[in-house]
Amino acid sequence: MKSKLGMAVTLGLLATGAFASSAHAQCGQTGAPMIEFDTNTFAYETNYNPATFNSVIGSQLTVVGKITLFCQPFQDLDAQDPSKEYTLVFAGLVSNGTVTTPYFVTGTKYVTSYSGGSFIIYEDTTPDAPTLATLAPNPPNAQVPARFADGTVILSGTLSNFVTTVRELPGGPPNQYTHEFDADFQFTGPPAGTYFVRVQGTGLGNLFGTWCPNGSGNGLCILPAGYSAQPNGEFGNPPTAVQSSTWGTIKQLYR
Amino acid sequence: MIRKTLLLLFTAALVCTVPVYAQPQQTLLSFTGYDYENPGDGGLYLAVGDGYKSVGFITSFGPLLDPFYDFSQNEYTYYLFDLTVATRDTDGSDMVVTFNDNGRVRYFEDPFARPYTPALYGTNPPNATAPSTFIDPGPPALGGDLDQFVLTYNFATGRGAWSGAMTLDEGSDLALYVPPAQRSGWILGAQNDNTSVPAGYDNQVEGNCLVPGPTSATQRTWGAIKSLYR
Repeated sequence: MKSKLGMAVTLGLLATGAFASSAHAQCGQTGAPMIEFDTNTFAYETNYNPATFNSVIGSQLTVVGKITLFCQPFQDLDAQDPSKEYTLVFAGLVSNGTVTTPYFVTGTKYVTSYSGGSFIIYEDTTPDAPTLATLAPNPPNAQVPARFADGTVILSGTLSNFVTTVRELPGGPPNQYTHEFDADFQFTGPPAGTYFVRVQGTGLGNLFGTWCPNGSGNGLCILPAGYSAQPNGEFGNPPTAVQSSTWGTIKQLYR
Repeated sequence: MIRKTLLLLFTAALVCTVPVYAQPQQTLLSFTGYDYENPGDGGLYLAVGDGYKSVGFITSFGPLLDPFYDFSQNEYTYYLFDLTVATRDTDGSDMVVTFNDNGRVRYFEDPFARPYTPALYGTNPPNATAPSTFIDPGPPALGGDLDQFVLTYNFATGRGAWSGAMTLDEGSDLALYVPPAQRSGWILGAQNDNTSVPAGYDNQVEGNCLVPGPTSATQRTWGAIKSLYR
């Protein structure tokens, strides 16, 4: 009876996953993002000059944003549910200083690496995080990061190798830009959390996307004063953990 | 007569003082997918004359389109194509590629209710499912012309990015949902050659399209408006 109940629960969970996957067709695909954050994600620093894209050594980077999509293994979380809000906060990222170099003679490349870093993902049943249209300037303020950092912590982890790259292309004016960010992440908690147990023991995952610095050039994003960038990216699926076991333990699973 | 004039002026003042929040730009939509060379796959990456393409899924819509599209009922995909390499320069591990104008991007809505063909990447595109299952059913919901498309890549890191000017000019939803003042913007992408990339594709792509925000309205007095015409 117990095994039948377990089977029923398992099938129920699978059915839930199947239904959720139909809501976002790409979730069943190879390389589908695990967690996607688009549109309303914003970065700011304690010592950053938007006119020169320069982050001073020691400047602390914070990223806040709304999650727009969950795929495996979090397909049962509906980021489009209007009664909830899923948000992220990256904190503790300390700038190693922006390295500015010529890029194809007349262009310029700005590369900034950050040490340390952690992330938290929240589930909030009282949605209140601002969008670009309602974003107050000069964070930290009453909105940012507070309205992104409320609710229940459902996932947390560490960041490493966080790098942003901005290229002012040769051939301007008018100047045109490309940009991206890249980092590694690892889930670390919360311990025994419903969602953490699904990814516990997985390896380093990759986090990447466009960075879109605050500015008025072609390919940049005009943001309220005090914000450094508007990232748009994803947490990719980390490599699955390999767990040591005995043959006897494995046989037990099928009894 | 005086009363009528005052009433007209009062009504005009009301019309002119309705506040509308202006945004410099807003996200039209965001997407994730993979890119590939076609024609010209193999040999030098993005040699002059090679074609650059990308297929993938729309992951979310910005405020302009979000009220009209439903991920629980439809699959949303994109296809970036007609981009031909015009120039290619390298400097150490860095590469800058410019493309001829008049590339194109199209966005499709595929209802789950119809005889639905899920979009599948497969391998070694073009193949039996890519781009065909990413561009059905026609016509596209939206589509646009791409100019000033530039791709930057670093061979040492396997990371890159691109940007291009996008002008929406086609699609069954263009006239319905996108005001003329919000049709010219930018398409932005980041590239990553991570381990998820299927055989025959080059990079995973993450990106979005930005369009101008809603037109702002400024509070003015009737006298100030009249003075504009004196």
